[in-house]
Amino acid sequence: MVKLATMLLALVVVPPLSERLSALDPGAPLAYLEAGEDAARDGEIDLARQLFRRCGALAAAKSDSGMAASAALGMASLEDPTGPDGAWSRWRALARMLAPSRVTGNRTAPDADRLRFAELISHYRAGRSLQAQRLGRDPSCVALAREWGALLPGGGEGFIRACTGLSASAPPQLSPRQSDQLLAVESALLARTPRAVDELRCGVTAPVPEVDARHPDGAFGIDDASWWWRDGRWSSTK
Amino acid sequence: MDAIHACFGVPPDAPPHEIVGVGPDASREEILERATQRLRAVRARFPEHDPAFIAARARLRSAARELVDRANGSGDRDELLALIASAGGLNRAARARALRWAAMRGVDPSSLVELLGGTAGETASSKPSTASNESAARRGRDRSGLAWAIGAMAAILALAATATLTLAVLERGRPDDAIVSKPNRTSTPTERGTKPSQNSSPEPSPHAPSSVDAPRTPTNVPSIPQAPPPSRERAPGPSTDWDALLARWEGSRLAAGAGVDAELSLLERMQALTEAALLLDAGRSADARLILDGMPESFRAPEPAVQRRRSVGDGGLAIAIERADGPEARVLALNRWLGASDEIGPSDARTLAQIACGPDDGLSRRARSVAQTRFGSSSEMSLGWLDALPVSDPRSASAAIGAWLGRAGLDAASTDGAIRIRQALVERAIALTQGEADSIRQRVAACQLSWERIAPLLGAVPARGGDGDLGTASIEAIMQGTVGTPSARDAASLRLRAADGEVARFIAWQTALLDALALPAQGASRHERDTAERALQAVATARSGAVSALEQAIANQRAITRAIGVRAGRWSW
Repeated sequence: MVKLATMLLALVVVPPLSERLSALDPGAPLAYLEAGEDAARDGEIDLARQLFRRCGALAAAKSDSGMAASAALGMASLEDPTGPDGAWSRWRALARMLAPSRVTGNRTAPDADRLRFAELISHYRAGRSLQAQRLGRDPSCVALAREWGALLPGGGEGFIRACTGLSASAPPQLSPRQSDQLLAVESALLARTPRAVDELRCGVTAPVPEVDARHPDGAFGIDDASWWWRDGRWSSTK
Repeated sequence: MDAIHACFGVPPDAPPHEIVGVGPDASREEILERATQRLRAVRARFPEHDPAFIAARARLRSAARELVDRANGSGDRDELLALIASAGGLNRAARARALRWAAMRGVDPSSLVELLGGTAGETASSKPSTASNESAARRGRDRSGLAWAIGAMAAILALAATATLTLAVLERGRPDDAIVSKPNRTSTPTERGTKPSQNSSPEPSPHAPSSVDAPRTPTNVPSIPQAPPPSRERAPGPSTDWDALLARWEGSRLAAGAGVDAELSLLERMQALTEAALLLDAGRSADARLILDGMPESFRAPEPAVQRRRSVGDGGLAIAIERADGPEARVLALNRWLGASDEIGPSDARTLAQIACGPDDGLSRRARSVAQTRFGSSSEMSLGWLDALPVSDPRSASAAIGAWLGRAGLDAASTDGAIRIRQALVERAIALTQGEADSIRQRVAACQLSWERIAPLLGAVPARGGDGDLGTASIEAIMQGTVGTPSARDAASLRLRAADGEVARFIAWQTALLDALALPAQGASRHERDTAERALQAVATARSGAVSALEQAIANQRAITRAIGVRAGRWSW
């Protein structure tokens, strides 16, 4: 009941998107970001992109790097992470460039989690079904399997399925390549900071997203000062 | 296989002069000539990617370098001391000159320290080698504090060398007469004073300076015009070291997505070409030739490494132990199972490791002994320990694994300790599984060493990164030195924020170095800067179209080599 009332209240208080677009002002980039998020939620992907771009360009001009990074993350959220054009990773890289601490966070899993996952690899290799099933359901192992999925035999989900479905009567028959893959992943996983050789052995060779480091803000691509939404289109006059 | 032994019958522990095949007091030219000949002979018998060839090349280079350093140390010391004397004592100019002198001759900072600090007292009586420096040297002899000054300078240099801090060794400016003292090593004005190339072709100009490879002092000016622009009318000149370098540069191609091993191999080759370009730029043609002669013109990707795995009977040990009744019978069963085989399968290795990690009794002691004596070099045994670890008592497992690894003080009871044990076992397993075919590790190490050699040529003391580093630490050291520019450093710090791994960090610094070499802080004309900007944009486009990080690194390295050629006035953008 309370939830329903809150939702109704929100509908009454928050004006519709079209109204908010008309009220956008370059002095308040946050409004562009919020409108972009709403547009993305409503499936207006192109409009969301335009709003995020403007938010990013305005925020960068005001040296509000946190806001600019949020706009870059907004742009990334509209892209397919597996897309061949690398747009998702490029926007993520721009976000890290602009505001690293807010975006990147701590990438390294705790020691105990990494050790647990290494032990899961051992149990799986040795065909110890009970232990493999138990650790295969452990949330930290599932999270690490997803993170390192590209390098695990059968992918992250596939590896977890193989562990949880391991039968005592049928230990895994690993090919030499799969066995090497597991060794390389464990080597990289156990190194607190994986070395270049670990990354290369594991096949972590995706290209580094190319962002112009001398003009990172230029990535937002708004150079005509069209900040105002008038009659259903962007205008450079108020 | 030891290729040097196979080709020349030189034993593995032979002194450097025997490896190179010269007398102990051979001249620098003789050493380099002979080393080049030997390298050619090895290459005639072994393919370029054969580990035996790679090892032989490294050994020959190292031996030649050591002998050359020795030769330099004895012959050129007078010249160095005169140089310092001409600067008038311990001052900035003297230090810069000495370090530049060292870089020009491939003398590393620690050798320079020895050279200066060894017999500083003799400095005042040593004769300068050239007439042009004589009066300055006389002034130096009159200064009573010079011996102390040199000693102090040696101490400063020692500090810099041992701390592996970046040392701004080369103050690149106009060539200094005091340094380029030998007339036959100086370029003629006509060679050095021609108009800059207006050609902005995407490749190094094949017609550019094919004149003699006159040694020159490195300069900070990117394309100080030393050569006429490419011209069709001009008769083709004789083949030079720069031509040989260009041919190899152009022959360094690889299809996209060729795989990590092939890409690393090409990166290693491109770095060697960078090194050769820097050596040529510094006038060390013979050293450069040593690199170029050992490299075929066209790059051939290495054959995929063959996995050396043997299939052996497996699973018998667990059955044998299970069937045995009583402790003594189990030991007997273990002995019977052993037979004469030195090979072990994964399941038996796991069983043996679990027994060895068991309570301290006759069976576990026998298992430990067998693991060490029979299967000390077995990758399966390493995996066996790894898999036995989570199901064994940490204390006994630590002792058993420690004995097998030859390491004391292991403790599997703590998370940190268990991680360390697993790391050691994984590394051992990888090394043993792939043996000589662990080419990724070898190539990464080769790339790192290459940057350690490049750093002094770019005026920095190399920084030794950890194992498995591609050379990032050395590039960072170069960028903190005189070659680095503020804008390139700023861009690097932004790229480093975006980097989410070590290879990405390497590429961030490598890109920064390229920026700095192409767009130095001062000295370039607007036209040169515009041309360089366009070239950098082309490299950025190549990076963004690459399908792998190593392909990006190769694109950067190609451009770095080219930037050095441009900087030397040999090529154009």
